[in-house]
Amino acid sequence: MASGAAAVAIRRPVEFESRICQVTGLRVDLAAERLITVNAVTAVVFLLIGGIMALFVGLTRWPAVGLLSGNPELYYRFLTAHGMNMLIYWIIFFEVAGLYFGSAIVLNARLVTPKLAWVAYALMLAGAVLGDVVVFSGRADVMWDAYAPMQAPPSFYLSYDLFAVGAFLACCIFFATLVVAKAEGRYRGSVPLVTFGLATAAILAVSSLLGGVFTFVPALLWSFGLMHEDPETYRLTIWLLGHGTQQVNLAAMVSVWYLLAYMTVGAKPLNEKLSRFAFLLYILTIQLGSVHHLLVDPGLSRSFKYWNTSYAMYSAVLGSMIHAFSIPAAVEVAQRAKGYTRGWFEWLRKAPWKEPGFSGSALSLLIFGFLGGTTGVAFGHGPVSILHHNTLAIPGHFHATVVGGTTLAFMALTYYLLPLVVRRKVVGWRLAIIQPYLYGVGVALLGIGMMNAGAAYGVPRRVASIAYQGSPVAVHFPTGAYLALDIAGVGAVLALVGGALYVGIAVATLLWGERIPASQQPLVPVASSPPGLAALGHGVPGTVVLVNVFLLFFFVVVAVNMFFLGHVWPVH
Amino acid sequence: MPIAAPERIWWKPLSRAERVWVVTGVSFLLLLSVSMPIWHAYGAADNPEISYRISPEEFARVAQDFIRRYQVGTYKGIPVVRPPAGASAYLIAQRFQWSPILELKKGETYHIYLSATDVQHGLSLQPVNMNFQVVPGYASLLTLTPTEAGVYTILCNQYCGVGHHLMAGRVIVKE
Repeated sequence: MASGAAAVAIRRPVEFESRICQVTGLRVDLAAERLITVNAVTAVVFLLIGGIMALFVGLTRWPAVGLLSGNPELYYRFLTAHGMNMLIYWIIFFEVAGLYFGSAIVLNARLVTPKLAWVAYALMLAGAVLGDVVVFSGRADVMWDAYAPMQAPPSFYLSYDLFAVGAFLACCIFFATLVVAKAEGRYRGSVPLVTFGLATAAILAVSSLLGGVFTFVPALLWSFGLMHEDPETYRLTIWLLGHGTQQVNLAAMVSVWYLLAYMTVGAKPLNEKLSRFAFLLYILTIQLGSVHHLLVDPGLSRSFKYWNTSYAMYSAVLGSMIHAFSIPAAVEVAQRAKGYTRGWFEWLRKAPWKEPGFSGSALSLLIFGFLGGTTGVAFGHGPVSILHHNTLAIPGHFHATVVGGTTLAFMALTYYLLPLVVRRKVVGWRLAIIQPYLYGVGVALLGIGMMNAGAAYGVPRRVASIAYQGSPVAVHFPTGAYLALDIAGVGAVLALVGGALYVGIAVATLLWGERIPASQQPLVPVASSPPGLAALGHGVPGTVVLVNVFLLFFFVVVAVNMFFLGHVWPVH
Repeated sequence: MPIAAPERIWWKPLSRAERVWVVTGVSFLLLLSVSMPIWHAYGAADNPEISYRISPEEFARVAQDFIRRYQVGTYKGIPVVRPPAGASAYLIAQRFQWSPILELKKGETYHIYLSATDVQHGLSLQPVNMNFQVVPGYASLLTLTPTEAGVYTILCNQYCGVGHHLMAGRVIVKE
């Protein structure tokens, strides 16, 4: 706990309705609690819609099934809806819930202006519902990124504008809550690490939303015929939004990793300076790195592209590499303090693998790091982009980061949110134990299959079929491409089952879960930090081995890509 | 713990393991950074540097002139064009067709101007596996040297409308 100076209130604290959490000892603002629940539940509803779309998309791209290959219009419509519901609605509603948790609850403070938070919610919901109505009615088969000059009706751009204003309001309420909490003396010293990580996410969200303003306000005017739209400018600004929001997901996910490492094994950040510095790197550099989406585009100079990817993007990668060390190291230290000290890996073997909060975040870290992170750096390497741009390898990469990483981490957190915030006993705990494995393995196979099909065989992304029947020239992909797509298909089915389990468990718990009286301990064990936990007192040999294996793998991924780049036709 | 305020003074030196990892990470990423200019200097394939602003109408006009001048045949309605070795060539992306079919000579370097006349497209040359963004209003200049004779496919890999999955063309490389 904080020592030294007592909290100083520079403003008379305003009273608010609250309860004390029996597990964490945190004071829970009931208005914030209601908002967290409603935003998180809304997120799950959009996950369900996006998940149903995933069923159609996954089974269409599996050539052995080809569900909608005969109805490409419907496939492109559902793919548009899949992207919007998953990448935008599910993740951002959940993140707003996370922001309210990380500010009001973690700081024992009140959420300022809960009424405005409901306005933010209403705006986001209105935007999301409008977006879905426009897309499902068949008026905007344009994909979520809707590259100009392909045009959607004004209502499509308006839906994004409404959603963005709501999300921006939510970020403002988060910042205001931090400021007021400090002024009212609700906490002492620096904010906790989880709040710091979420503040990183919120700062990145504001700068990303600025990209959204630069993109969708002109696009709205353009759709009314009021202004000219330059397609390359559109690409530049939409990736300020599109990539920025992925870094919001990254910062939020890393915060969840720290949180769950504490809740499941009692891990304590080993060096606050290092972890906070890593978050700071995200804030300072990552927005510039968004140019790696435009490496094979016209209109931008090579030095601009390479400066952005090599210095800006790699500084953010350094941040992620720091977390990839700090979090396992914190878990190792906590486990060793409990007596699991034999060899390199006893601490890992004896970790609570039957605790979905732990297994989910561990798998999330592994999938994000090994499959998502390394390939992201390799594909975003200036010249290597020639090999992968817009092939299936790209969605393969981001399914490993956003789905295997962020979504899985959020799922893992849900098993704690349900008893602690919603205060209901999780229904079907046995299924909850296997859910992260099913989902994680599924998404990993999906990512591996897609990346293999795209990188090795050039299978394009966003096509309803790769048979090319009816095209003027015959196109035949080798057997290997079909094998890779089979792997992706099997992975998609596993992930769908895992995703359905998650939604089922969450909904069943909300509707029928046994209420946990405020005075009772929750039905999930929440670890406490073991006594005598000294920072790195025992050393972290296991983590050192793990990160070196990771580094070797990282090197191999980059080297293999450079090797293949050496075998294409000379071009410049 | 990550949900409580840290100790009052948390600005502490890194442990040895942390220092080693940060230095390793920085070195690895610096290596990656310098690999880009090194590759640019010594590698054969790098992303195209030169592009031009050109209206879709103007590009279509110039490209059609080029097609008329060097056309040697037609394949299923698509002109087959054989530009002289080392000459400029044009490739139009248009919903849902690539035009013309370029017939190139192995080992010769061509200046291929690439643009779209309607929406954005993606040029994906297979099975060589080279991919470039095609943006209307801009012409990318690909200075390209085919190194292997054969019949190659070009696919569209930027979603361009409901016929996107049918958009395929050819590049032929002769000895």
